[in-house]
Amino acid sequence: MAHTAQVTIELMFPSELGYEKIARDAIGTLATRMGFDAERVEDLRTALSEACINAIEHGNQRQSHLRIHIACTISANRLVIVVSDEGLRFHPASLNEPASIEEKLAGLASARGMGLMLIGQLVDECGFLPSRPGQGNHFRLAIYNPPRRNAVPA
Amino acid sequence: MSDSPPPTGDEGRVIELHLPSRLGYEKVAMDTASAMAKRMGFATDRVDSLRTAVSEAVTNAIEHGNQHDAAMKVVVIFTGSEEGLTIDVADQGRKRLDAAAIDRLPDIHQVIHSDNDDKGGWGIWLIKELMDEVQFSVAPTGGNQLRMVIHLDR
Repeated sequence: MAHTAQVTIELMFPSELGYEKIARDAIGTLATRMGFDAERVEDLRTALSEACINAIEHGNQRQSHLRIHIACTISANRLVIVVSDEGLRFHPASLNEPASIEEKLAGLASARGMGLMLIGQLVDECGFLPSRPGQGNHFRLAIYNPPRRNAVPA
Repeated sequence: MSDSPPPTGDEGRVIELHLPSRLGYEKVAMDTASAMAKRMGFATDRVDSLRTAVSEAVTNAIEHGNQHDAAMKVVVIFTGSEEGLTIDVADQGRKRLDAAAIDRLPDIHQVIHSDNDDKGGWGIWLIKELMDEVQFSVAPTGGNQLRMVIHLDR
């Protein structure tokens, strides 16, 4: 089969807690099929859940009629996922650097935002893509180099 | 993380999946379907039936409707309700579904003795055997649309 550079899968669901589990299961299985081992898939599942919950709770303010959009781009050696919301509450990309735990404990930063710090520990790359108010928030996460190539063609 | 199951019942509370028309990606639809069905409380054998039916429907859409053109999308829409799970599979209709294929009962002798690679008819027959309701229509995009419904509490 001829291999094009990459393919994209999109998944959309309402901004309601619970749906992120379907996304987590479906995309976790996709990563398994790409050849990522169980531990990395588990990390990805956790990171993706956090990203979706952030988008549901913050970006879309739990307004269930607003959609969460996930785009998964698959190439031979990486899986890139962009979680987008409609940006009811906007998160500037300049806030990519999460506050430190010390800052949080000292009350200098919001106690929330631990999710972003956690995600950073679990995947190879993550951060908000540049965006403007009205264009929604777009959070990108990526994992690289599955140890073996597998069932899903890239 | 939330422990609430995905809400069901309301219009618009749907999960939408867009896949490239390339064999292998039907597995992503199967995994999404089973993730949703398990959380809705379907028994394992029903989940397996659903996986098979979704696989056949998406494979049909890739091979026939979209003629393996990877740029064409297969759109799968999952709608959960109290009664069960409805799954719509739509292609972009490069090739219209043959009306005769919908009702044809496959002939095992013809398949065994035919040199023809096209074992047409089995997929649709199988989907009808496995699902509680099956309907064919024209998708909003103009392509073929297959709707299958699996009921809870059977």
